[in-house]
Amino acid sequence: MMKYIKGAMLLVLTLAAFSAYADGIGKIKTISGQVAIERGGKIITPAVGDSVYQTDKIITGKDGSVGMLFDDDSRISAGPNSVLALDKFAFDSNTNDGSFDVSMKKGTLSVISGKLTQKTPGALKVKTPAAILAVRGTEFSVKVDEPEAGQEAKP
Amino acid sequence: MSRLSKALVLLLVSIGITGCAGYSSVVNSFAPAKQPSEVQIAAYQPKDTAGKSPFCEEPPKPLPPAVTEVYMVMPEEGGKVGTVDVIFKDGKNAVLHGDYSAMSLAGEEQKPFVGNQAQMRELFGSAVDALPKPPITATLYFLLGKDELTAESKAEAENIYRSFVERQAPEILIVGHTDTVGPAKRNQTLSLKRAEKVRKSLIKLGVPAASIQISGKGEHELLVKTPDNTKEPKNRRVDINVR
Repeated sequence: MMKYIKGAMLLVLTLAAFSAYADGIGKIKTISGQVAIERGGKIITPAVGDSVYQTDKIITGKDGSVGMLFDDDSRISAGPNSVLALDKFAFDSNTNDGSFDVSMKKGTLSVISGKLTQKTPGALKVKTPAAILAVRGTEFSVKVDEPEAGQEAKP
Repeated sequence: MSRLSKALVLLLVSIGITGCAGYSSVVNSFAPAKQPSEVQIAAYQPKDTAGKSPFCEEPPKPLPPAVTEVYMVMPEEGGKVGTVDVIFKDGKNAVLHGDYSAMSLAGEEQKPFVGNQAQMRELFGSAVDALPKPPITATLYFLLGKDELTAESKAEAENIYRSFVERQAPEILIVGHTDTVGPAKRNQTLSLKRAEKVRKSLIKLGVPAASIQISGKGEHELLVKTPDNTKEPKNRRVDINVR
């Protein structure tokens, strides 16, 4: 009997360790209007307090906005009609080393960088269709118009 | 004569005298006092028809490409200055440095400019408003060997706790510590009791219990390094981190 209990406890501990490993890279702190996350091919409707994960794609509707707080204290938010992907997040909470890559297809984005750029200026990068923005510190915003809108204006 | 009819007469006269160009300049003078920003000009010019009279045939001009991207450094608090390096796909690069330092991109043209609060609101307002609040850290101090706050910390505690209650979806981490007076084992227990004390106060104020995590570090993480059995008020503390 004792053996089984020990086995069960070990399993619980393993699961706990695993779930800690699979923990998100940050949490959603603000949501308004329509917000969706594309994760592993599925579309999820997130709620305030939910975790976000590396490779998540965040999509907002025409009245939607969302704000996230990441493990290094970086804060990123998106306004309406936005599509952004959390490509890569690596953060060592002991040394503050790592890097954070976000890419943005369209919409608006505001960033307040955290411990990653405090340690390594430029460690947070936002990729747009035309450029890479390396944030040395700390607050900035980006707006990317839809490619269609850009073409429309051309003769 | 009212102001409007004066303006209309002026408009008609000006069309009579100068034709289309005059018309558009007068129309432009009706525009609100606020000058449109460079971004607006670049972004909206192609769609702008306000300056054209239906009677004037204008030769079709090639339209400038629309603004497709805008970057802006936001104003920083506490004398900090923001900096962003911009590296374009064609290899060109730029540095945006200082409050409202910005750049717009229209076709191949990269145009640096210095924005302002109104432009920032117009371009990025809803994203800026969606930014979460920054994490808060606070430290409360305790009486020697007890899980009771010092008079000073007691006075501060309420205000600190209240700022936590307003948070949406808070994650609160409470870590208790002691100084090196007494056996390490007893200090371990005491540090946890101190953290627990803060936890209870927060729950009483309406913070959801599930959002609070506590731990006790005993005398292992001294704020002020001391030898064993040393009274140090700064080490008798609870660190609180709210995200």
